Amino acid sequence: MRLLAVLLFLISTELQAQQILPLFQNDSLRTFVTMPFRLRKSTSEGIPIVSIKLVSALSECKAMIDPNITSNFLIRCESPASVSVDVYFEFNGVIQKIRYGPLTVAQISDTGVVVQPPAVTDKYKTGRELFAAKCMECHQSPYEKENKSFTQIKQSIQSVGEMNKLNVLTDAQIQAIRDYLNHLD
Amino acid sequence: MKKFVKVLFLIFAVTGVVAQFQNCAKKEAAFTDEIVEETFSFFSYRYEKATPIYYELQIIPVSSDATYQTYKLILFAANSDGGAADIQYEFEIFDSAGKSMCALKTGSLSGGVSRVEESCIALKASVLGRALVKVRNPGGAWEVLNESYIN
Repeated sequence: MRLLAVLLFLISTELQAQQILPLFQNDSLRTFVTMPFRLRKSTSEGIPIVSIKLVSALSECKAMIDPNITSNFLIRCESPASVSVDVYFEFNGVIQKIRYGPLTVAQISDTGVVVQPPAVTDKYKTGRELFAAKCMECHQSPYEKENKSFTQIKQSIQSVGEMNKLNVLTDAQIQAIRDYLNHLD
Repeated sequence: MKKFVKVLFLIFAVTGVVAQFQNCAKKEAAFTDEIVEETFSFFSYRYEKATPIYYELQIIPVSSDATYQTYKLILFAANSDGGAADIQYEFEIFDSAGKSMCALKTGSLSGGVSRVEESCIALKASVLGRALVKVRNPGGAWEVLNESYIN
């Protein structure tokens, strides 16, 4: 009996050690902002999240687990809201739940107007992202390199010293960058 | 012979009934992809691998007169591991012709600060075309966001 009590105490202590950390500060809980949160142990080590469920503000907000960092989840609201979320994780082979919130998400500005980028539907997305990831460290704007041919880009990669590291790009990737640079708005 | 005909009839009948329900099941993969795409779009989720820093820029038109439009630019950035490492940033917005609308903003977030606000006064005739945002931990590689605001 005493052993069971000790065991239960240990489990409850361990459970209390799980905490959710807002990665943006409280004054960043605003509409239109994708707000990241982290489920972690008291040692700061992340805990993989099994699933996540909004329990309030269902029409104003959405929540998702970061597919690349499963200890983190994201919440975004398009209207001011009071948000609570259930976060499920595995502990000692059992699924556990932490209810987090309510969080007050305020309007991002008094005018309430935010310039939103259009939904990403462009067919040059791959080239745009490759250019951003591989080229923009040196070329600040795609406009300074518009209308380049595949051959020009490939020759630059081979002949310009600082661009040699881009030799890892495949022809298809170079073609995607070329397509993007030739179809700037 | 009669028995054979009966069996044959039964096979045809069963096949006929089963065929009615072919392709009726929900196509799980396509269904899931659609939801995932919709969700990613809602969050403007753009990271292709584990990002060391979550960051985004919000652009808010706050006031204008006959000649100028004032924007509030708010950068949000935080380390994805919850750590307190400094974050260096640079951001700039450009018009639809690729010209800078106001000076490049640079600085550093430290001590767990995750938000910085800057003001930008641009010609009212300018059309916002693109925002370029770069963040990194000191000495690390730049994470770059090149966001287009034109359809």
